[in-house]
Amino acid sequence: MIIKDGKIVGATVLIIDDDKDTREALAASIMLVGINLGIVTAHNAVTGVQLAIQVTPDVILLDYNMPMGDGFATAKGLRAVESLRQTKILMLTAHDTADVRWNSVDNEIDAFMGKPFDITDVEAHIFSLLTQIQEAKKF
Amino acid sequence: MAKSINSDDALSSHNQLREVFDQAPALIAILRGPNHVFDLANDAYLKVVAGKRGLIGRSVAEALPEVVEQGFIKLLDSVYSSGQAYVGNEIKINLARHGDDSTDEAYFNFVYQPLRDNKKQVSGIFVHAVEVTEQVRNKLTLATSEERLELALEASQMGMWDWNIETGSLVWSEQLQRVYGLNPGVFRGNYDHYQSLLHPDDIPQMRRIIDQAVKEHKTYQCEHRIIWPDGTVHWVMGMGRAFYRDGKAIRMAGTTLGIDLRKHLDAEAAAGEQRLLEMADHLPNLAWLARADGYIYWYNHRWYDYTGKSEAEMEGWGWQSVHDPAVLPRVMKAWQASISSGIEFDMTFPLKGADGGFRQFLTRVTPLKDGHGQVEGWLGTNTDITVQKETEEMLRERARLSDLAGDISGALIGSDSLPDILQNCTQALVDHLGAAFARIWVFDETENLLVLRASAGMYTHLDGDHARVPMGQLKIGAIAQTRQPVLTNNVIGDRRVNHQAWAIREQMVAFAGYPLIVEDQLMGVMALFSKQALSKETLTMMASVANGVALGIKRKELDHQKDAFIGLASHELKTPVTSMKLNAQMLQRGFTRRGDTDSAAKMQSLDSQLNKMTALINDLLDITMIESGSLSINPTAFDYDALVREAIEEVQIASEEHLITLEGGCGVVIGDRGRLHQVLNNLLTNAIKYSPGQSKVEVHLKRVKGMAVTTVKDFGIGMSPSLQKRIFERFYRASGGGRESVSGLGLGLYISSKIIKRHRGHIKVESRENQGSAFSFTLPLTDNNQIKG
Repeated sequence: MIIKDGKIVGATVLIIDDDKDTREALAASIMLVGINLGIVTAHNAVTGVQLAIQVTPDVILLDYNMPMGDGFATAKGLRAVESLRQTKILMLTAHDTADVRWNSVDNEIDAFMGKPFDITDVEAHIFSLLTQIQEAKKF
Repeated sequence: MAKSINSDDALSSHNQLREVFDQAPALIAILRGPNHVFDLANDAYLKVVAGKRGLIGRSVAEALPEVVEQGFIKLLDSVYSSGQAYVGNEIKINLARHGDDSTDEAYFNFVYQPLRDNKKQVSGIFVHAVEVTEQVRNKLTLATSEERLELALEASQMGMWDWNIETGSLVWSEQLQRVYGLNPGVFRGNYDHYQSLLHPDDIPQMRRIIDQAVKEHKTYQCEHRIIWPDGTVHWVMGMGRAFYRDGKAIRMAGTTLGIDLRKHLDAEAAAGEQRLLEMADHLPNLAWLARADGYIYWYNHRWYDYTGKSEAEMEGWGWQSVHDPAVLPRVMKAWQASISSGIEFDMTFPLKGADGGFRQFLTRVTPLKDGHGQVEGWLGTNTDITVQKETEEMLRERARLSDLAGDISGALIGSDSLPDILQNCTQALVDHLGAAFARIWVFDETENLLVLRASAGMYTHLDGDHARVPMGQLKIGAIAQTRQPVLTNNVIGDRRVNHQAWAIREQMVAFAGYPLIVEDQLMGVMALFSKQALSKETLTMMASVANGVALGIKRKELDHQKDAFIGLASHELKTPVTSMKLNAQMLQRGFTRRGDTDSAAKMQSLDSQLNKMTALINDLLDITMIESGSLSINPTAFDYDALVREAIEEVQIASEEHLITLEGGCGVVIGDRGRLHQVLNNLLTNAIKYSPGQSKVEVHLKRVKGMAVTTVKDFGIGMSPSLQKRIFERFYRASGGGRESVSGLGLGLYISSKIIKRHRGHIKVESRENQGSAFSFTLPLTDNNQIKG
């Protein structure tokens, strides 16, 4: 993955969200951010972790409120995987209260995005996270 | 003796007569003629009167010259001439019997009887005398010593009396007359008068006493009453003895003393003691009286009622038998100390009742002193303070239970997490009931087991054998299943309690286990072990505690459910909106790229409607949280000024017409940053909304008295006074004054005011119609720690 002319090239993004419309809308939005982006989706935590292990995404968008396992537990599970330690996790919360943020004690989450979000929010967060990866790679 | 008698006969009877004459013990003499010539005199007469002198043929005057001047010749003459006999009693005569000038004093009872001749003319005098010199002498001696005695008695003010039984004469000293209340000279000097002054009721006893003494030749002493002439009754004490002649009492003499005062004092003392005894009998206490030496001679009824003992068993020192042998030595020591010192003492000790049981008595022993301050006895009272002690103990227990209730209530109504609440409850049970340890399990419905959530006292670990107890297993599970409490004050030996070895080792005495049930739903189980027995009051309190804890768990469960619901509602509502928004925005971009500005504009409007919907959804969620009490504030200390700048920036971006200015600063504030952001956002967007056509919104920050004061000021349409009053109400939707064009549920200010309230702050508005409004609110600075989450 590189960033070129304000666009991201060749990054992989994983979306874990149980709502189909949200996944699709997010995927479409992220496409606008760059080119040659690999976008993978999962509809639950289990599938999500499996896919993450398989593709080693640069960014994971993780829905907080999912039926089988809340977002934080899933994030912990992801972080437990060696190869995913550096992956950026962006948590999507419908109920963006301090409660939710407090629970993130161990800073498994890199950023939070409260629903509903603007397309610009999506662009900004993705861009910023991937840039961080890019920067980190320099060292 | 007449001449006419036959000479032989005359001679023999003359001789016989002569013999009698000579042998008679009395003194007999015959005198002839007016000169009283001794014709005949018997031997006794000759011996006693004449002595050595010859009498016969001589006249009295000649033979006994010493009697002439003593009046006897005159006496004889008068008898001779009158022919009347003369009787003389205890007549003194001095006789010169020794032939010289010396005379002897003698006393005679005598008769001068005239003798007549044939012609009945007095021709001589027959003299018959008995000497009573001894008796008379005795009498005199007595009289003299009596006089002396009387004088002495007068001096001592005792009354003296002397009663001649033979003559009946009764002599009273002046003092005695006074004792009888008589004026001098009133007393008639005889037994009858004396008798009449005695109190008739006392006479029989007096008689008895006196007769007895007289019979036994002893001195008698008798207290009796007399009646004065004025009718008043007085007490006297009479003493006396009899004097005897030939075994017969011929005289009695004695003394009498007035004893009114002593009798009065005695009566007073007796009445006093009587009153004391009556009073002591009526006391609710046990009471007793002892002599000065400690010998208890009287106990009141209650003593006998309580101990069930008899008088014989208790008298003297018998009370020791109802004392606790272990305590008795101490009691004896104190009692003996008091007896010797005369100082009162108090002590509390047990006494055994008739039923064999001991009760505690507060005992006070007081000395009774006479007029001179000497101890003459002891009064003791024993007060049953068993009830008082029990009451004290009960009050102490009530206080403990009250404290327990307070702590439990405090724990249950707090907004700590459930584990903290339960831990506080178990700790309170340990602290106030002295429980060895207390535990609370919460029932997990899905897994059908009890999870140990709190443990205080001896054991505080939550992971152990009892950490997860399936329903029905062990004692805890049994309680949960049967939904019945298990209570016992005899842990050792109670089959319902497992781990007997452990119970014995730790000396556990009591166990109490309660199912926690609310509205028929099992919430969990609470249990504790104690090394002391649990009283009925404690168990009743614990049942209440169990109810409270059950409710507390239920409340938390409900809270949890509510939170879960709100979270779910939020998610369900916002998720569709999210994809709608993204899609609308993507379409908008697409249309714009293709130059289809109409469609782009429609998409834009779609997006903004979705924003409104989102705002409404947020408000609804907030309201739901506020209404259900789930609105949680997570306070931190943060840079408030930075937050204000942030909020201003956000709103500023979206508003082109207005310039939002900031002035002043507050520094660090304690509060929920996110919520305060919400409030600032609300006020700023309102300020812009309600001042269309204006160009300015001002924000002022300042610190006043430990509070951070924020003011958001606009110069727009303002509000009427009535509107100002109601603007923070929930369902108040402002109307009029151009407000119809402003949409929204109108909940923003309500929610903001709630948030500020939760921060223990205050929000208010000052406004003038068509001039603008200034909303301001206060927040505590870091100095205060009043906000709770």
